[in-house]
Formats: sequence, C-alpha cells, structure tokens
Amino acid sequence: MKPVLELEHINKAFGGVIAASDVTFSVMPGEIHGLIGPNGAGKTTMMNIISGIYKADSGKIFLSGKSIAEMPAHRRSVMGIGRTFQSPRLLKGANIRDNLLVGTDVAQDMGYAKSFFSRRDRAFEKELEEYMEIAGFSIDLEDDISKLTFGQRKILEIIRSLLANPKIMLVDEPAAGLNENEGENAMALLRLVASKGIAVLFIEHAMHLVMNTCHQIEVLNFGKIIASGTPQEVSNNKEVIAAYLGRADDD
Amino acid sequence: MKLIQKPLRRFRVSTLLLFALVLLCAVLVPQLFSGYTLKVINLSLLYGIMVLSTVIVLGMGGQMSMANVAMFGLGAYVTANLCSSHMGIKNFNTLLALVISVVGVGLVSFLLGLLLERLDGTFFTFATIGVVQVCAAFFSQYRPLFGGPDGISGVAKLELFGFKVEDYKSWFYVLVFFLLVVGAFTARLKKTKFGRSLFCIRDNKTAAVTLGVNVFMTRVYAFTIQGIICGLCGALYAFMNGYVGSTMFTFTKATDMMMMTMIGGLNSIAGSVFGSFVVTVLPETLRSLQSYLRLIFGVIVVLLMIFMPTGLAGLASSTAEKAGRRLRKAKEKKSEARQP
Repeated sequence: MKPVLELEHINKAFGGVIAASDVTFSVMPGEIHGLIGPNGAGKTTMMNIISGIYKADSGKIFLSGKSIAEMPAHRRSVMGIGRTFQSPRLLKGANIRDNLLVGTDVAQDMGYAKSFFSRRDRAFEKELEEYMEIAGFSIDLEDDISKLTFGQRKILEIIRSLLANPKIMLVDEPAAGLNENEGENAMALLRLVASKGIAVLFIEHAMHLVMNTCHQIEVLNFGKIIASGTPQEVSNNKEVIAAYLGRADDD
Repeated sequence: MKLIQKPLRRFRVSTLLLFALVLLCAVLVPQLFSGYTLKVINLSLLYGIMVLSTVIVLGMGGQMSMANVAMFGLGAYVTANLCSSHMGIKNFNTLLALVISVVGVGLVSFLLGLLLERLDGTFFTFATIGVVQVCAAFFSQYRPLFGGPDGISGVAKLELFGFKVEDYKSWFYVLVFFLLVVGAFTARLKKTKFGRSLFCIRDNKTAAVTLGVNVFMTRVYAFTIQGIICGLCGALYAFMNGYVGSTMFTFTKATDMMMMTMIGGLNSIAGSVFGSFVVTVLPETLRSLQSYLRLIFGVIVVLLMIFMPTGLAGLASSTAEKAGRRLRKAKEKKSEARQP
C-alpha cells in the first residue's frame, strides 16, 4: 500500500522563528496519525503547510503520489485534503443544511454555473445519518447553526469535512473544549473515518485520547520531529518524556 | 432517539406574504399614483435593483464596494451613446443597446475585478472609491463620450418586442419585472455553491480555501455580477429619464446606495428594496424636512449599526421568529392542558 500523504524535508521559518525543520513523515490510508508536542512546537503550522495555507520554504509534499507543494490551498482541498480547526469555522447566520452542503460542494467539485441550475442536494442525508449515529446528538437541518453547542459545532465541522470525501483529514484538537462524552464521540467518529480507508492526521493534547486512538504518532518540538512510532514506542521514548510527556515520577 | 429530525416542510409564510405584497403593489400603485409621485416610485424600484447587487457583494461576500455607481453610470452612458444623436447613431435597436450595455459593463467589471480583488477589506473599499472618482471626473469632463457637464439628452424610448415603454405606468411594470427577476436571481444565488462560497469568504477566508473555494475568482465573479446588475440599471435609467448627466454618478450617490442597504439589511432582498424605497421616497414626502434629511438618515444608520446591524429586515424577521416561538409555546401549553 502506498502512503496517502508524504512530507519530505519540509522547512518553514517565520523571520528568525523556525516552525518546521526538515520534517519528513508519511501517512498511510486508513491510518490515524497523531501529531503531538508542546505548545509552539509547530503542529498547527505543519497542518497549514499541508493544507496550503502556508507555503513551505523548502521540501516536497505528495498526495497519493502527486506533488502538491505548489498547488493552491483550494485545489488541495478538492484533491482530497480535509481540514478542521481548533475553533469550528462554520457559516454564521446560516442553517445546518447550508453548512453541511459546503462540504458536499467540495466533493462534487461542480462549477458555479452548473450549481445554479442543479436541484437541491439531499443525497448526503443518508451518509449524514451514519455519522450522526456516532456523533450522539440529533439535528434539524433547517435549524440555525447557532442553536448547536460548541461541542456539537466541532463535531459537525468534522462531519462537514467528511462530506467533502477527503483522502486525508487534518483535524486540529478535536476534543479541545468538549466534555468527556463529546470527546469520546469525536474520537469514535475519527475511528469510523479510518475504517473507511481515509487517513487522519490529528493534533491533540489529551494524551489518553491520542494513545487510545492513534496508530502512529509524530512528536514535534521546536519544529523538529524528535520521535515517531506507535503510541507505545513514543510513550517510552526518553526525549519525548523530557520534552513533552514528563517523567513518571512527575505525576 | 431520532438521529436526524427530518426537516418539516415549513410553510414559508414570509415568502408568500412578500409575494402577495409585491402583487398587491403591482396592481394598486399605478392606480393610486401618477405623474411625479410614480416617477419617484419608479426611481426607488430602480435603486432597489441596484441595491440587490450590494447584497451579493457586501451582504454575501463581505466586501464593501462603492464601484456600483460607476458601473451604473457606464451602463447609462453606453445606452445614451447608442440610442441618441450624440454619436450620430440613428435608430439603433434599443433592446440590443440594453444588452450591449449589460454585457459591456459586465466585461469592464470583470477586468476591474481582476485588478481590485487583489486588495482586501478597507483597501478594496478605498480602491472602489477611487474608481467612482475617476469615472465621475470622466463623466463630467470628457465631452466626446459623456457629453461633459451637459450630459447626453434625447435618449430614445425603450422598445420591448414592439411595445414602446413611454409613460410612468409602463415603466413601473417594466421595473417591477426586472426587480422580480434580479430578486429571484439573488435569492437563488444564496442557495447555490456560489452563494455558499461567498458566505465562506465573508466568515473566514482561511476556512474558505480549505473548503475548495477559490477566494480571488469567486470575488471577481461577485464583482462582475454587481457590474452586470448596475449596468442593467444604468441602461434602464437612460431610457427612463431620456437624459444622462454626470451628477447622478457621484460618490454621494454611492453613499446613498450604502444607506439603502444598511437601512434595509445587508443580507436581505426584501430589506434592500425597502431601504431604497425609504431613502428615495421619504425625501419627496418630507419636503419640509429636506435640509435635515441627510442628518436624519445619518443618525438612523448609526443607530441601526449599533442596535440592529441586520437592518430593518433583521428586525422584521426576528420579530416574526419571536411571534412564531410564542405561538408554538401557546399551542404546546394548550395541548398539554387537554391531556388528562
């Protein structure tokens, strides 16, 4: 099996601050890949580089074997890179249906003119039902998005990204600000994503969620990968313990 | 637990009411009003169409463009040049002139959009103000194309499929027709990928690009649509007025347009038409307060922006929503009381 995402020697600096230094790793289809590290380690910057919001100073990025380093962000999204944010970025003053349709718009990749004359899309509702079963709350598609709680909006953002039919999803702190139950639901959703063969690269600070969910983990510190491997390997790595996880007797 | 509460086919009372109101107005207004009053009402309808273009660019796309007045002027002058003796052209087909004006201004807007949409926020707005000023200077000074300070007079009457649109009553119907067409187009746009892309850009540009939205080109298209609508209004104005003068296309007019949008509601189709009606018709009915009108409108806009940023349409819809909620609660209480 070929990796869905490959990063080769990615470098990025903001003035004198190094956000990524010679970062190289790959993500396989259906794999849940964690990106952890202390605050300011360059995790979100890495996601921004992959999704095309930032341009890497040097290095290569491949999506399903195709070089995307020079591709604009909106094309990368259509190519199959989904993205969610620490704070959900949904359409304000719009209903839940319109918010979800933004995701299906990416999947359909239809021109504006064609979309003007096409009929209302309801095909996604079946797929949505499957996701809502795991999300653990009910919605009325005609409700305004503001009627959802913060946690529900975060989960809905993941679902919106899923409806875009991605090859890989970049999920930034899915459990941050969520209660325990919602956090578990968000993780269950990511497991479902992976079971469909979609790769997941996610940032998370709640270590129990990372360790229980990820197949592979990359640990970043000052823009550099200091360790990579399975949760077991990473949690036993001395450098990771010193830089991020802390020593056992610290507890 | 039901996972997705299937959307109820909500009875869209507001849409039906609006449609009934438009129909009622279309029947009653020409019977009740005539002469100058009807002319002012027609002008407010024309501005209403123009303000709809602001709903697309500002309300949906979040970009404040003042260039609508410049495009309005260009449309008017293209029509005036083709359908008057100013350029020595005789008996030019008026419907063709209308189409040429719309397409021509659309093309100019597209090219201008390619240039201006590289700018963001305030810088974009300032650049569009510059466009208005440059165009206003050309309109008032360049005689060969725009007639200079004298403008262009003697524009032929619009002929639509053998029917000459001459009197105010006929113009009223023509303008209601175009208002409905542009209104329906704008409403449809909101529910398409283009509308959603514009909303994405307005709410968060970074999120928009990660959702496959080409921010630059989407904005250029929105700017072009604004130009097309304003070009249409310009052409209609030239035919309706018979004369095109530069004083109609100044920065002051652009601020009037913005006021119409703000009073009605940035994102409301019905609201913007209402806003244009208030700003155009009110000064005529309150002639005694003429010197204070700008002051009054200014205060209204400031108060609206502080207390009601969604404009009067926002107030109407939130009031309707509250009333609906009360009605639902009352029904629920009633049904609870009936249960033994």
